[in-house]
Amino acid sequence: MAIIPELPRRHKGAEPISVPKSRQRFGLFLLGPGALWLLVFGIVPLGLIVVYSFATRGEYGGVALKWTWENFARLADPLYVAIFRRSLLMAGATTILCIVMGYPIAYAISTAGPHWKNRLLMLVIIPFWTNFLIRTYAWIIILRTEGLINSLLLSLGIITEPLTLLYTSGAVLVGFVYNWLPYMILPIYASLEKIDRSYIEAAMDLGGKGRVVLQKVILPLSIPGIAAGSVLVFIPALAMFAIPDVLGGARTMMIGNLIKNQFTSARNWPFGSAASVVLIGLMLLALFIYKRLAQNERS
Amino acid sequence: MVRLESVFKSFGEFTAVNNVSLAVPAGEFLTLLGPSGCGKTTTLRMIAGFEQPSSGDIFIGNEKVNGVPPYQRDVNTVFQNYALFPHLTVFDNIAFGLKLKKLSQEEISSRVSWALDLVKLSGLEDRRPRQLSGGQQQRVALARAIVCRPRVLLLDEPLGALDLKLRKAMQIELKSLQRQLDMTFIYVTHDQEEALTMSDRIGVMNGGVLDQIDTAATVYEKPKTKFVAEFIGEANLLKARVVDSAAPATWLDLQGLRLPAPYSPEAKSGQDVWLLVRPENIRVLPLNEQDALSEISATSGSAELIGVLQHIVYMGATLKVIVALQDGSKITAARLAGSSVTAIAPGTPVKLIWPTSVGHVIVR
Repeated sequence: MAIIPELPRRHKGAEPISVPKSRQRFGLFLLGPGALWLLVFGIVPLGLIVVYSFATRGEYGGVALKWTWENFARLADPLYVAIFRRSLLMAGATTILCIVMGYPIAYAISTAGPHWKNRLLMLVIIPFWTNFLIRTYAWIIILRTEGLINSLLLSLGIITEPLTLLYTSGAVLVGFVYNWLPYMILPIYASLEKIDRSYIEAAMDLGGKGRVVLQKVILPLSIPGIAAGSVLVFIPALAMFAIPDVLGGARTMMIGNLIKNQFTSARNWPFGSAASVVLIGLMLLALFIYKRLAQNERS
Repeated sequence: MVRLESVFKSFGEFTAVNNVSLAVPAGEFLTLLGPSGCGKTTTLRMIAGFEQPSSGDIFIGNEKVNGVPPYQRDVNTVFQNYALFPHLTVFDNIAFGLKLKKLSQEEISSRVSWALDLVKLSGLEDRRPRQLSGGQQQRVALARAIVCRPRVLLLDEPLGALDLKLRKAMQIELKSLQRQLDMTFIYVTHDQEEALTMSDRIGVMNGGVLDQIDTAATVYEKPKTKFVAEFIGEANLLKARVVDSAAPATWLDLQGLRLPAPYSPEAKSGQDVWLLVRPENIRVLPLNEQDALSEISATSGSAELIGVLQHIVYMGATLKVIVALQDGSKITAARLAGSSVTAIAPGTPVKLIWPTSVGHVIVR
């Protein structure tokens, strides 16, 4: 993915490095297993999805190879457009909330002493030790009508009736932000950590107080981290179906749920494939924007 | 302009700066010279405000600045790695400090172009730092610091990353810039030649201690410590014992020979001291040249030693003549290329002669 720093480009006009035949064959041999894996489990299924997206649903839920644009046309139905819009909004809101909440945390970790730094990083990583589905189920205990939040607020006398927290868009958003916050914190932390202390000292030397230094030097220099974190959050959030299933109930269907339903209960593989192709297109668009931003930063 | 009074700085157990006191008058070019880890950069960073002294006081102008943050001090720094903001253009880098001073747009642009003109980089306003060569980056860093017209400019090994030729050219340029601006410069370097080229005064630091602070000539000719003598230029240090010290001469016992040296008030009879003689002051003569010998013996103001010529190293403009003394220690003499010394074959006994006045007794 584009998050990996690019290798330095070869100088224009430089001689291409000539590799002896035997070395070339050895290189292909090394490439073999990985390439085969990608072909069988990556490229072929992806190709099938694209092919299916133009096919028709068979009588008993199979795939009939009768070519049509019907599946894509059906996605223009307001019902499905609303699902796509909701997914984009949810992924966007998740990304923004993760930046807003993650940046201060990453900044605090990067400025902590070496003793604290590792402990704080550990705290960010600890959730990865438990499967995310289990952690998502834990939120049910917190959010449900007789859950932690409601019983706390009731016992404090702040509310008299329990609030409906679970099975709402809000619950899904909470689950999303909770799940992806570490993916935002870590790249931002890495980019903050890379900032040479002398830039901060130079800004202070030229008359910049803490706030100015943060605004004019630290924030702009950590944009690559924010961009990388946004890609890591936005793209999986766009396709997530498990968290809406667990925390959202039926009213918060997202693209991921739509696709899953078409492949399972609805038994309409061609329509599910068409939705998948559109989703992949949206992800590529997001990556393209990221790449353009990263390029602007470099030039 | 800048005054340090008994400044100490410790990092845990380690004392980086040990009781440094110095005063820099306005308009002076002072160089803090010393090997890495001698405390020169820490001293500079305390003046800039990046470090606070563990004890002692720092004054800028007449104001005591202990505890004053860097952004409130009327000093600017040229950093060793330049620290140019990579996300800003050359113009915005230089204008950074001016914008924070809330100057008008016209004032900012006119001062930025003044600074760019001064460092001969006009026309590169819109470049990013990474599009510039090392030398150009160095100039931008300089422009960014002087454009704020600080009372004191602090320079932390600013030429360290440049190649030799560019460094030499920049040394001369920096010095003339300092005169032109009439600005107080405090310059940190480990390069003694750089220090000698540019400074009004040099402060030599060693292990956190300021050994000596004097003009270049004094530091070179009359070093206060063995460290200063060896760090600046090439030095012949001869171990000797004081026989008798009374103005106008201090008499030394060097391996049984009685040698005169200029009077040193610090030297006491019976004390072990070092006699410093710079290589360029030593003449090397064949032992058997009676004429020359008698001529030199006639002049009472000279000191002489006998040794064996070991080899002559060709250095271009000069020759390095290495002579072994009886106890095995070596003395280096520097003669101009083409000197008659080339006629002497290695292994030949020779006489080393220098005027008494050029010797210097070092007590510590």
